Amino acid sequence: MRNERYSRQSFLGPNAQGVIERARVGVVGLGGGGSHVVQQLAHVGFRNLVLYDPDLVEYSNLNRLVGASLRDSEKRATKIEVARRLVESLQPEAMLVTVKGRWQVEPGPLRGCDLVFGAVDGLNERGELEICARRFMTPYIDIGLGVKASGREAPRLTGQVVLSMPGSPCFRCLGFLREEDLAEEAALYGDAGPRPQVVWANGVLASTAVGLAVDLLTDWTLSRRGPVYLSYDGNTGVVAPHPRLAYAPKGACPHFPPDDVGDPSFISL
Amino acid sequence: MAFADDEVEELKQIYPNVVAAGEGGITYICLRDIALPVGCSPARMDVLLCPFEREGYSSRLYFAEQVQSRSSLNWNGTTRVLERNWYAFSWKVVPGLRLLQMVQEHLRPLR
Amino acid sequence: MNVIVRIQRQFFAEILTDLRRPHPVAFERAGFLFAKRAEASPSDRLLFPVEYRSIEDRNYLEDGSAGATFNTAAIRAAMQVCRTTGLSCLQVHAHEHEGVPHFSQIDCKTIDELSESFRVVAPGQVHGGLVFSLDHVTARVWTPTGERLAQGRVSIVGFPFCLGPVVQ
Repeated sequence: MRNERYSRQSFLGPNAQGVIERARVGVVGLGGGGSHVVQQLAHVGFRNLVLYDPDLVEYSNLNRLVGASLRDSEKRATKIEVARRLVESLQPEAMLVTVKGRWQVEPGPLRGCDLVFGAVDGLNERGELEICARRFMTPYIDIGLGVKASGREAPRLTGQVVLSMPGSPCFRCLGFLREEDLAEEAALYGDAGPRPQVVWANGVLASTAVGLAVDLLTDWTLSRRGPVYLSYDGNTGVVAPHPRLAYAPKGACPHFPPDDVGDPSFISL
Repeated sequence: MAFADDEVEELKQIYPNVVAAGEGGITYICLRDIALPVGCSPARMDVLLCPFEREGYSSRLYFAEQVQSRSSLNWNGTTRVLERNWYAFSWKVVPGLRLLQMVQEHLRPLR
Repeated sequence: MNVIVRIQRQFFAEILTDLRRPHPVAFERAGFLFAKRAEASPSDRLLFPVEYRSIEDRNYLEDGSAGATFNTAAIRAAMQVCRTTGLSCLQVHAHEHEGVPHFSQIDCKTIDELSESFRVVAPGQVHGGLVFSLDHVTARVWTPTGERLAQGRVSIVGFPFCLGPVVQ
């Protein structure tokens, strides 16, 4: 039965489904991007998930929150409930750890993840999540979407899928997290207002991210050998390597030394 | 990152229980169980000094919890560093201070 | 209780290169890895090998019954590192094949005895052993209280990424 269910993805390799079922995957943020990711993970066969989101379903989420219904917004269901229902409808034996809250409040389950998806708001959130992922030697795939209005021209819809792999260039090395952008966000007290979000663009990013995760775990393409930083142009529909990849440092990441892992170790001054 | 010996010694004269650890390319200094200015609640706690520029601040002092003090402060700087959650209020100090000066300047609004 | 071991790909490659060097009398080489730790939950222990000490050539013994036999000087050196750093110690050697490696009976006996010694100098830590193949890692580990951890995952983190089930 299991073989038949996943027969169309057998090209991933004879051991792939076992790896997928065994992997413990974290998804931080179950909004427009994260809900897509969860749906796809469940379809592909992931059944060991750690999910974080503090929010309730609101009416304005329904243009993009995969799995959410009108009733969910009326009864103020949590995004966690929506995700749980979606996963369990496809994987009734799934082992789910869910936290209705920010991951910083209950970080333990995240440490045990073999891979983490971040679909969070804000650069500082991404920075903190990356630090945690690096400390516990966990690959972290980040997705995000933005819309910039530019006067009389058409708005620019852009997004990214970026991988922070321990031992390889980090978000700072890749130019994805820059001090000036973090400072600008901090000056706004982290609140840049409601961010434009649309389901189809979130879907592109989530699909790309899940595809990347499956490739990392199964190595089915035999070609995933270096940093990943993909930019999405929502106006043209093109996903392509970000130009900044060309400037990624070749050596070890200076921000995360390889032995700076595990519980923090303090030295007396 | 190393700190100047004389600055460290000066800091330890006032705050003897001082340790350091690095994360994300920044070395933080944790001052354990320090006494906060009179009128603060709690009266004592761990604080974490980031003596380098971060998020637009030339230096920043984070507290283990939000502090009730005589003055009303904007506690907008929740962050997670070295596997703990920390809190900071909005307060900028001039760059180029010695470590002890940094700590004292960051504590000044609590007086 | 589960153990989750994560080793960086670059580090794995460096250790494997060292372990594959030929030795005048030993069929296999061995070394010691020292690992930092963390907990994901009371039942999930994480280990991150960060330091490697190769056994010096002169500390191997000629022994036709085993791949690698080393003397007490090698063990003492490892115990000293363990005592100084307080880190977990994992004895490591390699098998020349692809796919999931398995410990032999002699391997298990050696690791179990070493773990008991390391518990003396670094109590409160998990100790044990790892065996590498050319592309996988298997672990055998003991808790500070002398229980063998029978479940967990071992990952080589980097490109390519390898997630293994095996804690033997």
